[in-house]
Amino acid sequence: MSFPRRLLSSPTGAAGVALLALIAAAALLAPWISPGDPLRIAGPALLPPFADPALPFGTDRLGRDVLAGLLHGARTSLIVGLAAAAASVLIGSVVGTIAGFAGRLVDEALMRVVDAFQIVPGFLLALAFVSVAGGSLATVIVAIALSSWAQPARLVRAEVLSIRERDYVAAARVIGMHPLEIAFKEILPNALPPVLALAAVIVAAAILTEAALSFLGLGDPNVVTWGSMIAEGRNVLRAAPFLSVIPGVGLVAAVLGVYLVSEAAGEALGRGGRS
Amino acid sequence: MHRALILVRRRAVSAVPVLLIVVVATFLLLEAAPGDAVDAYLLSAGGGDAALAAGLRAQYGLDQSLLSRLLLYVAALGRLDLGWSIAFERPVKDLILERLPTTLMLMSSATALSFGLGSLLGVVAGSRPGSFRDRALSIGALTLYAIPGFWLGLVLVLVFSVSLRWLPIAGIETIASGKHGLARALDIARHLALPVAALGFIYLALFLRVMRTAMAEIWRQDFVLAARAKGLARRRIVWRHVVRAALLPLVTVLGLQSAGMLGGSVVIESVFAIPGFGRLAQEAVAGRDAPLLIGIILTSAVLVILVNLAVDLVYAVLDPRIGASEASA
Repeated sequence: MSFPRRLLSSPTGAAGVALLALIAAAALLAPWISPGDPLRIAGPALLPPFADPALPFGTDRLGRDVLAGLLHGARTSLIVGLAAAAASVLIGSVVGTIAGFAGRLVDEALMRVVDAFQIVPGFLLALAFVSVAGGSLATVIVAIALSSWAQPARLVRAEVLSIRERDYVAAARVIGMHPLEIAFKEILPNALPPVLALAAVIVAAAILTEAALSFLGLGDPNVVTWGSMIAEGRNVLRAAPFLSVIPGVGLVAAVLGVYLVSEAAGEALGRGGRS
Repeated sequence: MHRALILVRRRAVSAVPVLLIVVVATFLLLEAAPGDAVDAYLLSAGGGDAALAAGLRAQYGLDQSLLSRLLLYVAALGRLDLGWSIAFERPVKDLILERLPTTLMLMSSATALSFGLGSLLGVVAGSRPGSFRDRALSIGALTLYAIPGFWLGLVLVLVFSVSLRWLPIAGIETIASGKHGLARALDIARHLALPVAALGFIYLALFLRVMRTAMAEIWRQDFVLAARAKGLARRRIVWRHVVRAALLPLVTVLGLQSAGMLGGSVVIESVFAIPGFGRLAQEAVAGRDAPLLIGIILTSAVLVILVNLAVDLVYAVLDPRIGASEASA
């Protein structure tokens, strides 16, 4: 069986793909389903869900459409999650490859930096960075990448260390390839598969970190995020609990989708290797 | 005991350069911030002229060069002096020591909850790999792990404080309750129940999964096969052989998640208005209080190092092979 088919044949994989497809569809179609600025006033304040067919999920304290926020928030979550994970894996791969390939002093120095980034709680680091650089989508992405690159770096380094002794690397050396070319053309591509498995976990963690940052009011104030919607709804938790609950369900669905797919993908790959 | 001492000394030596990197990196990061604590102070005080700002900067040493301030800071660290918080007008060390116990109480309770219940459920799931019970628990754990802690906290407040009115909404104890001794401890416990659950439940899922995976691995090993061939009762194999061996990876995770939990407590303390270490971090960010923020980041790094050291010591006790190689290397 091909990999996508194996992925979809397991119940976890199918459920995960369905969840992610739903979130991705919401993110892609948001400008068509709910056109215009999702932060504009769309109706009376604190309208409960299902009261007005035009505003199926109701409105918040300022009369903003909750459904529009939910859809556009999916966009923010996915963009931040994917971009931050990509940046984190990229930084981690470069640092890990250099550390593993250069060896000795460079390795020692780089790994101490990796240690430093791993013992500082990632969320504190992201918090400090965003407070310094200001809340925009780009700084939030950089902050999350900065707080999560150490783990892929360590993993890539371990892979590189085991790969650099293989015969084809020795062969590349013999034909006179530049060490940097060997590192990034021969070794890194072969070190990547386990890192990509880790990347899924980083995407999920990035979505959660972004939500927590914007819940604390440190995200981009001009963009709808699920975290800021929850924070806004918290002010009227008694009177309108749906305002906090709805975006939270979106968050759980997105993160659970990523986890389910990565778990099923791991199983599918494992089975593929054995059969 | 000798082996443990060697481990401690080795860790202490290797921690110094790492902590130095943390200090320098944080210092440079906060230096890049537009505006300093004097700006934030003037803003909160309703403004002031340039002379006042310059005077305040000179008073706090903010007018000196970057390098000299960094060197002064590191030198002061050697004397365990973390500097002066401008937003609170108090020594940073006092502030941190004052806020830390609350957070340590929150974290240790959450760890105990997640480790205890998580590993127990992990045993339930892992004792019959592939069964319905196993699959249901695994999916449940995955779902729990996908829930953001702050949102779980809000949902718990909705259910247990707003609807059922069983537990208080926020705070660490009833203000001016005049309670002492056991009554006060009970009061604090009631206030901590929801935040501990919000923080602990997420990691419960982590421990469950690690325990389950480790048990599934160990079931396939020869010594378990030998135990089964001997005809030992299943219950005895599970508890005496499989669980005991599966505890090792669990202890490792205990160390790894300490940094995550410390970060998570920032948000949880904000949700429940608990005046702890995590909330202090948020207040430092709001007040642009660089000395306080560096102090907080440094303290949390030291905490994480200490937790991991403790984990390694436990590990050396549980698995004699580990400590032996560390000592001889």
